[in-house]
Amino acid sequence: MTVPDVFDALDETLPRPVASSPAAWAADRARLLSARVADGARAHRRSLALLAVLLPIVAVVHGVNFDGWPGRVTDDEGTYAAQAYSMQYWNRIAHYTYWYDHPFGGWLLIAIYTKLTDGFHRAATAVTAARELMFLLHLVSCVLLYRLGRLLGLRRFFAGLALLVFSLSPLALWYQRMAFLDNIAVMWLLAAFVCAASPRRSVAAAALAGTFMAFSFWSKETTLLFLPGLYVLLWQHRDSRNWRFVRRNFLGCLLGICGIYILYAAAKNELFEGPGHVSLEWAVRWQLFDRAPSGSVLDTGSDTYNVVRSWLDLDPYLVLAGIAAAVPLLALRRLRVVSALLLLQFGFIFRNGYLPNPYVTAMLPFAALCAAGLLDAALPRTPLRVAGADGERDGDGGARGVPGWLTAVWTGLRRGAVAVAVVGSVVTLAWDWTPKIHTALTVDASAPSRDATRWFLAHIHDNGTVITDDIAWTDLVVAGRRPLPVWFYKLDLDPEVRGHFPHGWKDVDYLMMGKPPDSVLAEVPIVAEALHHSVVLKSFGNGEIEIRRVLPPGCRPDIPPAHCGPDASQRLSPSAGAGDYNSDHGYAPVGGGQGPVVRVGDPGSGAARPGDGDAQRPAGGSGRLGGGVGESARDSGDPLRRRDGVLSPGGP
Amino acid sequence: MTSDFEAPRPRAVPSGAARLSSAHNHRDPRVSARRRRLATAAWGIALHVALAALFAGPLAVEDGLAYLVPAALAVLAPRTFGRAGPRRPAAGWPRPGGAGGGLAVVRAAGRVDHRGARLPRIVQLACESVGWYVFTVAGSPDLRVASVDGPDLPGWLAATLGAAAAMGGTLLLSRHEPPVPAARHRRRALSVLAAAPLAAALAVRAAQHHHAVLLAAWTGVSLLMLLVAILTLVRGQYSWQLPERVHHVDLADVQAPRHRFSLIIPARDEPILGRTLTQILAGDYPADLLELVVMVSHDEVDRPTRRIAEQIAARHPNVRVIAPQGSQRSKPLSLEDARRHCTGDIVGIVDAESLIAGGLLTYVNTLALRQADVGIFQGGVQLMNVRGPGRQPRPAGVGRLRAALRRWNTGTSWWRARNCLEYYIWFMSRLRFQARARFIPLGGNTVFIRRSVLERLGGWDVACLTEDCDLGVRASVAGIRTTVFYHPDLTTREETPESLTKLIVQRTRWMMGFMQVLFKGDWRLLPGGRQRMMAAEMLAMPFFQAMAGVLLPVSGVLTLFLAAPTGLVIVFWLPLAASVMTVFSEQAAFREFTDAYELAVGRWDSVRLILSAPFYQLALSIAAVRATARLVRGRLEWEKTSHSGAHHGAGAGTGRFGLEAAS
Repeated sequence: MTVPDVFDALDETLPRPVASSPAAWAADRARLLSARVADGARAHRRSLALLAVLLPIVAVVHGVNFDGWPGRVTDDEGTYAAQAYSMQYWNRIAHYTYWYDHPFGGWLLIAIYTKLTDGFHRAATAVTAARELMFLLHLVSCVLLYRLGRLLGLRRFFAGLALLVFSLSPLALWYQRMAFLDNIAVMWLLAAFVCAASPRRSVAAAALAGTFMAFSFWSKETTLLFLPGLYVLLWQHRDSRNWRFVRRNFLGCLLGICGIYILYAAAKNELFEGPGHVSLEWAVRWQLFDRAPSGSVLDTGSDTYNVVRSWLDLDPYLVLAGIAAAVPLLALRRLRVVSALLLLQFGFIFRNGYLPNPYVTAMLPFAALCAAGLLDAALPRTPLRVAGADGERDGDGGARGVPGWLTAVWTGLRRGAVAVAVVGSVVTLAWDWTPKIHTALTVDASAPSRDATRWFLAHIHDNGTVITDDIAWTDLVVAGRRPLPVWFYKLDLDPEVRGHFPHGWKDVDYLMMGKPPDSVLAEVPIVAEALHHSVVLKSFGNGEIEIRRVLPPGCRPDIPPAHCGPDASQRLSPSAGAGDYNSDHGYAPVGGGQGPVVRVGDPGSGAARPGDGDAQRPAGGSGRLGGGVGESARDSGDPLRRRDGVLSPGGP
Repeated sequence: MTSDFEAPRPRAVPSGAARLSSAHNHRDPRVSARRRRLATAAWGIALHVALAALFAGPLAVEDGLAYLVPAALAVLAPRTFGRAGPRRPAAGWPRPGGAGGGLAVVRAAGRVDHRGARLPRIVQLACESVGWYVFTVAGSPDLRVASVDGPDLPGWLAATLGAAAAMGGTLLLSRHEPPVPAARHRRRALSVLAAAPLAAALAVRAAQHHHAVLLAAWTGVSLLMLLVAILTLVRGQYSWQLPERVHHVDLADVQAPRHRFSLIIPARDEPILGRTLTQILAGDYPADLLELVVMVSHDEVDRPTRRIAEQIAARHPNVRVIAPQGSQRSKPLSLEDARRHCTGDIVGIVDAESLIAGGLLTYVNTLALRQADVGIFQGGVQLMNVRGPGRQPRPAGVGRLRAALRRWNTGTSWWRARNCLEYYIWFMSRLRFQARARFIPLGGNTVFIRRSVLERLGGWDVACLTEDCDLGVRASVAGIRTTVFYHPDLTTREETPESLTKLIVQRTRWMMGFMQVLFKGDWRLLPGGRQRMMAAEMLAMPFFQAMAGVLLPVSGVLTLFLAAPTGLVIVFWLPLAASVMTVFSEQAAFREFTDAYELAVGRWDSVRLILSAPFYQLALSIAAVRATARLVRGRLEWEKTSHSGAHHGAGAGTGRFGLEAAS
């Protein structure tokens, strides 16, 4: 069933029969709808059969051991899970001050999923819950990619091929299993492309394309890079009779929904920079201009080089083959947009700006389409097909006026070349990918992180303050740990958090994290001090993650933290905890600034971990915490400690 | 109240009683009816409990208030809650064909329609209030608004008891309709008393949380306006939704003339009537299949017009001039008088000042032959002057300020383009959508109706200000199909009103007409629920227009001074975003319009179209407010005159509205 069919079923212009009772009415509606579904299924029965074969394969490869591999190599996954958690349970956009790093649609979707499935309490870890959603999104993306391939004139075989390489590439397994915003954005992007290439050329399809593109923006703002391509695709599939309306509805929906982001910032008075609050303006400027570049891809010592290198180590074939195929495909009208977008992304790597690690995620579907598209274009169509209603003409129509035998030879050559290419690539990819897929299906690389959390929850029961990475943060919060754990970046970089640690590192009791690289430690001096004064209680995965006890002077590991440290007596009083958040004081604005805007360079510079994304860039702002849609009345100017969502839950 | 009245019904309208009796005729009808009533009551109780649980649980409405949601719904949509009471057929439905002068107003606004009788809303409200008292007292302490003693039952059980009480009350009361008006009034008074404590409790709660109540109310209004704006946007683009929908008129398809047309031309003080008549007569449709019925007044004002018409009638045997006696003339009255003189199979209405297109009758003839199941054919009407008359020299003896005001009023053209565009979108797209949705307020010009259909509908309602809209509604109720066609070569061309003031006056009249049709309530008889919703939305458009005028300032005030949560602030501004989008997409329609008519417009016209949008909206809002104010004063009068009109025959029943219509 395609989107237009759904619209037909919902078409309000069709007269509705009068039914005697609601039950009869519902039955009537169900019958109508099922008839339409059956019609759609009949029209697409071959594609559906193909998808019925391909999707289970894809589902198995992506679904088995999705939590175990890749391991918890990046904090970003945990950050998004934590932000989804704070949305679901605290009605706040983020677990710390939301500073417009990304629009919050991505983790809103995660929060919706976890809300519907009770993900945080059901899944093994918070990241697992987010990864479940990624698995579902991947399946949707696969169907959308297939559909897009078909709409761009690929034969079923090649559309299916594109789906397979898109999904089975080790790069895809690595990045699309992880809880990245890019995966969400790419799904919406593919949806937008499918709508833009809709054969019905309806205004509604264009409006949907704009809407999905806006959702893509809401998931990750970098997808705006694809907007010109999307528009050109829409233009290529236009019908002059309603193009004016198509264009305006597309842009209207797109700008309207994207504009809500600006409206949100304006409503919170955070659109422009000012003292004491974060701002969209500052975040945009930082992302575009002030952010430290990660170096040139040609410089073997740079971060960019290392990132690209890690991609090629995972899978050298798909992206490079796609890029190679994209160049000749520029000559082919129907695939020009896709190939141009792939080349555009490729060119952006050489921009020498900041290159986030999951950047490659958005290249994968286009690379898969280009590779399969070139084969499709090279394989001559049977004359029957050419004569059919398949409006697009590709390069094989030039045989007029040429002797028949020459055409036959040329056709044979092309068929042979495609056959050789298909067989060769299948052999090569099977040779290269099988061991990697095997790894992905069997290795549990997330065990150390999971075990560390479990051990911590089982063995540490005092009310010590723990500094963690975001991977464990949500799990500790879900387990009910109070005071709330603190994400290690925020201890140094968020003035609001730092205010709760008047004695610096001495207020920290436990550390639960891997050893950050020195460059990161240089940015977080309090954490570095705490690390320096700590002893390892338990280590997991060869030091991949360690649970440490911080020992202020005069303290021994066998004394509980409540009895040593700077304010031991204060901590013994059990008054800390969630306060009277339900008080109905209305919306109290927070008083003045609490420090200058902190601007931090790139803490990830140094040894790049594969998959090290860009969510954990520190909050470059100060002022009141969080807040967002439906934010409950909360007096965050309260001088009392542990009231405001830093060390105790912020929501009711 | 009527009882045991079995009238033949049109097929489109289901007859619960008839179906019931045919299905269960082997049983005792009284037992069956009682069983059925109990079944609907049980359904209503289940719905109450389910909705209360839904709102108290997942939707997190406060426990004590959650029950009020199904209670309120039960008052507003009693039938959904199985509250139809005993099914009785409606009096006066279907309308007897050809009932005198269309003055037989259906009592649909009362308590009876084709689906049977129901209790007055206030009585239903009283029943529901009693149910809520039971719920409150029976439930646990957190369900109570006041501290009273009670058995402390769990919420769902309390809800069941409350719903059972409400249902029982309804069943009891709906068994007997008090025969005497005094008894009815007494019952109403008692109902008000019964509902008063609930109202007081709610008022106190609302006053305690006035901040939240205000925000919630405005959020509701904003969401409603957003919905209306989106629906208007989508329906305005219906014709361009699919490319193949755009060009829907095939001019090459021509059938030989077969149908005989009767064109009614109501004229009042129209010096250009002669041009109009000559042009119609010069058309390519054979004269023996064409009959012109020119309606003029018998009074002194119309003497020149009458003379023109009579001169032409002398030369052409197929032109008839009818000048009925009567002091108050209005368009519906003229149409209704003319209808009796029409002899053709298809009756068309052409305004005296409009230019009809050459091939129009041929095309309608073709349509009528091709589409035998369609009863009404609506052609396009198009205002053409996107620009004003230009700057005129200041007449002597007029002050500078007054001249400037007058120029601004009549000479400006910012609103003219918008007015033209409005017509284009309405006839090109919106009416086509309405025709397909089977609910259409017809246009007043270039509309062609099969005479049989017109007779069946009983002609025009002479008491209605927008008799065209009313006729369309009644045709939709009767299930008569309409075809709307729009082609630049077939449209009837007209001019915009002379001045902005005239525009507002015209709009006031239309909006009053729409409200009149709304309160008349024929639309309640529409067979489909979606049709009824659509009708309510469209006929209530004046209220939405009035609301649109205050939406922006109120939202701004609430945003700035009430410190609403961020999410709600965004909701407040969403209707504005939808309106901006509408203006944006209207640009496309404007381009289509100027292309279709090859008008020479430039970039400035487009820009002005965008800039003028808020002001035009303001003008419409003013008209809406005027219409509402006049309605409040004039409605009583109308009701009074309609009663007397029923006795004194057509002609006297116009009252104040007749004067309005003539203005």
